[in-house]
Amino acid sequence: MRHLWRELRRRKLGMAGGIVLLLVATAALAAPALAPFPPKKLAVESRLSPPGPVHLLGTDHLGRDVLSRILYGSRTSLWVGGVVALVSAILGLVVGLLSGYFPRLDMVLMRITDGMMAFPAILLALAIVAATGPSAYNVIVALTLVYSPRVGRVVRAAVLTVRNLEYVLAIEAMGGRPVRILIRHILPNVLAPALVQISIIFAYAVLAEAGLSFLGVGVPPEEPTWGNIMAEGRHYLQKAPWITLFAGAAISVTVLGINLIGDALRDAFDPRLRGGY
Amino acid sequence: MSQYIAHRLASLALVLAVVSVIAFIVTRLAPGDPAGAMLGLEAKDEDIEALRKQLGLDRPLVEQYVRWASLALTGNLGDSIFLHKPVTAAIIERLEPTVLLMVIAELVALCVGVPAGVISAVRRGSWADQGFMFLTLFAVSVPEFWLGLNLILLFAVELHWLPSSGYLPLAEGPVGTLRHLLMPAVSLGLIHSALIARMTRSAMLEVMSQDYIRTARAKGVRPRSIVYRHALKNALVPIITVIGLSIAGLLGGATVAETVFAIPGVGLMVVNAVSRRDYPVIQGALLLAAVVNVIVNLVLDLAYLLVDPRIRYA
Repeated sequence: MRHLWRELRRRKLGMAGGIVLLLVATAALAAPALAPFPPKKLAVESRLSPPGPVHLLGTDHLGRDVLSRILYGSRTSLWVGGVVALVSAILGLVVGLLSGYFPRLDMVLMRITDGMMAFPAILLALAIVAATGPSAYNVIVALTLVYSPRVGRVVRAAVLTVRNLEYVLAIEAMGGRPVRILIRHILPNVLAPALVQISIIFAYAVLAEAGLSFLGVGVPPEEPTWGNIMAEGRHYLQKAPWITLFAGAAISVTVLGINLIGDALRDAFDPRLRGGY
Repeated sequence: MSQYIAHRLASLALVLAVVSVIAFIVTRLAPGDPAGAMLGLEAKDEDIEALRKQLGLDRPLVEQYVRWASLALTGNLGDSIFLHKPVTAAIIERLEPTVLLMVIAELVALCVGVPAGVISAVRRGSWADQGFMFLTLFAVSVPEFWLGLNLILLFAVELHWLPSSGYLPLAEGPVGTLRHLLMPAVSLGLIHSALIARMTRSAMLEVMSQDYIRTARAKGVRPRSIVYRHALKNALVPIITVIGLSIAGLLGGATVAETVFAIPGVGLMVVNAVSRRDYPVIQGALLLAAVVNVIVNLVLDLAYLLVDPRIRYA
């Protein structure tokens, strides 16, 4: 772990990504203090006004302040992404550990995983939310179902590489219980690749939340998210390009930050790919 | 080798069976049942009951699945509630723009991704490498539809070079088709080139560290020839793999791109079906996307046999 930390500090872009994510998270938490206007406050007289001294990032079609909505939107977007990453990680670890350790279970679990992963992620999520109804909760459930098989796959592969190493066989020979072997002796060896995968899923989930909103099945627009700000702003692309421009920039910068962290993590674990930066 | 192919075909059948179960279950996640959801809150009870009968929703779930799956095997995906025609026919009508969009996007992705990956690997650690790798990271961080919208702002609204939306069929002349597909294909292709560039880079780095590359270098083979004749050839298998991986992304990405650019393809039909709760269309398109993805990947797996003799004889 210590070694990992040193590696991360050495990678300046990874640090930069961490700082970006930290800033965004702070902005999300401090949104009520930072936002110049309430995010739902309508002001018909100043609808679609361009960025200026009063509305730094302009207003939308209902006269709502875009900056305030982006600040509040970061809460839902990060929340959705974070929960999806966390729950996918837990589910993926359980499935991957079981699958990698018990060959009989592996047969069943991997066929289900294969089936889930055969679908384009965004289409499967679209169909699930279409059936269950658009809400933040259903978006989280859909994206978790879509992404956890991916963690499961990576964890399983990592388990298989250590499964038959002598130290595991030795503990088995001594009569160690499977659950204990999995948690105490195998889990630590699969955490690294799982962690990289989780950072990737965090990034995917933030993008997918926006994508689902854009396709019309995201979090309903009363509660601002980066996705639904853009989905609404899209209809005013010519008259008020700033709405989608700034919301999209917020997503891009945040996801870039997450990806920089993920990349630094991967380089730290796999030095062979180093050199990119 | 024929044993390998037989094994692959058997596992294909198994995956397709699982896929069909998932596609079937997904639309049954609706609270209540699809009939009620399709007709809305004001529907009369007897109307709902009639539609349930029509769709076979009054039968046990397993029976429903078996009926649906065996019809699907014959190419019958049921009828669209809204379009009043078979789902299969509706999909075929809209296939042209979707397929063309995906093919052009994949070409863009390969033409950008492979050279970028090769240059990055050959000049590992250089400014070019750092620049390309940062760009690839940026490309996977940008929402695809945002890139598309920005392209519209620049090339359609500001410069008036390209149409902002819509589609012209090939039958009316390829130039119009191309003009309409250029922006969507480029926005889709650029994002997918990132994955290909990264895979190409790491595959090339792996190959370049092999003994036979050092041998070639030692005996004085020109560097250019080492890169193309010795290294890139051996890096082909992982590059083909990543093309396979990108198919799922392209299928999903095409749906988004068709929505951004209002292209009347299969993807836009699905998005419209979602807002109309036209479940047979959603179900059919979902199944088709997975089947296409699985089959293309199988074909690519078999292409390994052509590219890599070691797999052929193993």
